[in-house]
Amino acid sequence: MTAAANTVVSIRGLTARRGREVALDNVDLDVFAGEIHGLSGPNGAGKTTLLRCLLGTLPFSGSIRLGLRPEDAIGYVPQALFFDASLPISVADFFALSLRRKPVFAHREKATSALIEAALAETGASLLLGRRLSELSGGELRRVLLAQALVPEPRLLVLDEPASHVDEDGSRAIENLLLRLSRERSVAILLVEHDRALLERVCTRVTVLNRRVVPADVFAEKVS
Amino acid sequence: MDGVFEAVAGWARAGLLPAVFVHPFMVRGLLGALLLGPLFGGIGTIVVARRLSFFVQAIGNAAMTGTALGLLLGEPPGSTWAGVYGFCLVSALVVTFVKHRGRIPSDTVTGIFLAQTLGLGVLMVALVSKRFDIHQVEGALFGSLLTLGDADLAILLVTALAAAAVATFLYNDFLLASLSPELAAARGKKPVLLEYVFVTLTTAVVVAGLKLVGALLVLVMIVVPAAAARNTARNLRQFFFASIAISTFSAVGGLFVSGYLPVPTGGAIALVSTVFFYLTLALSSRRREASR
Repeated sequence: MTAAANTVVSIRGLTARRGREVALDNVDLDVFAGEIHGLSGPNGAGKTTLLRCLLGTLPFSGSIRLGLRPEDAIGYVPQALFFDASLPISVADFFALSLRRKPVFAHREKATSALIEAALAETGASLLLGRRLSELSGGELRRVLLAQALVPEPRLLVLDEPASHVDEDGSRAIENLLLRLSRERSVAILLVEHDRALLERVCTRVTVLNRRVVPADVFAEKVS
Repeated sequence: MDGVFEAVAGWARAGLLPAVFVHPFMVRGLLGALLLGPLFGGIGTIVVARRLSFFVQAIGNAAMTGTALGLLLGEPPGSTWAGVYGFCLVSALVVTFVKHRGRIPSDTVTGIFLAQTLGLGVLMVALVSKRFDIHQVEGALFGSLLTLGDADLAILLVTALAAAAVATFLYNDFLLASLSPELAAARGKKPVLLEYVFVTLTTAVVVAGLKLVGALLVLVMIVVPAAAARNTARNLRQFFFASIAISTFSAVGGLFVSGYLPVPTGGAIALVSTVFFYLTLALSSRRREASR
């Protein structure tokens, strides 16, 4: 397959503003099927802004093309969720919100529950199914967020610091999961992460961002 | 409708129903309460989850200004629907627009809008009171069972059915977008559009309930049942159904209180629902003690 046919994300000349400030300046970036593309850079470098443009919640100039068919899912692992700690939303509820058309308060079929349990098992979070989101530790919440991004199986997976607050075992499990998804399932993965060691262990390429792409820091493409 | 009232009054005289139902306004009130209770209870769960309580309060206050505006524009007293719906809807959409465009925190935007609306409302009420009975505006503020007519009930019924259909269809999306707009977008939803749809829906419901509950107390009926349900619920399913049950019991209970005692319905409903809040609070703290 040619590179063009394999391109899942193609960003050209992306410029976005935060108020009057330029948050992203003329950024080019590609993500291919089966690669883990790391995105690194200091705080305020525009990493999360780039993800928001990609997902369509922030206006921008330039172009972002997604090589996805209508039935292809995008999995997204946000850095945080915004909810009141007293909101009685369980882990299973959280999954059902995006998995089902039927309202979350209606009866949940066995098939849906099985799907949720399987996804949680992938990230070692099976025991959390009935817990309230507000009762989870930082690391447990990351595992739930990652599991949520796996159903329905994504063709593009976008992660915003998935391993922060996760213990060492959990972090290794996440790394292995990402490697397996990219190699066996050809998922295109865009990974925002601060931890350089982690990036070097799993990524095919790393782009360092500081409002612009920092050229000297683009790693040579590794053969995996 | 008159035949229905006659029949119900007959049952009441025969002792099949409480004696207050010989009055048509009590029957209308009960129908209103049975429509509004579940509707407010259900919508309230999303209002609380999306942290829009303050916004609902602001819309309630805008309704007072809208009533005065309707009177000034020549609408008949007691059915200033165009003024109220028009003013509240425009206000709600403008606030949401400013929230999305500017970088001002949403509570500040709502607060400024509330101040502006109240100021305008007070001026207009002063103007209106020279020409109309001030009780017309008072009814909009505190709710008045006696002025609830068949046309009001019809508007309430249509609004309730439409709002319930939209809210049921989009319930998951409303909640998901409040947890993370980006996550909702990744799932192919449009978080900004969803917000506009939700504020329109909430405004329609708030305005439809005004006659019964009143502008000042509409917040109580939307937020308190959901807050009470939150005290004991473990998941969204329990949260939703408990909120509906508490809201409906409060509405019907408050109606009975105001049927027997000479007090405004809105006030009675508000007090009954706060009783539920303290009950669930006590229940949840006892449960917590027990699990220790």
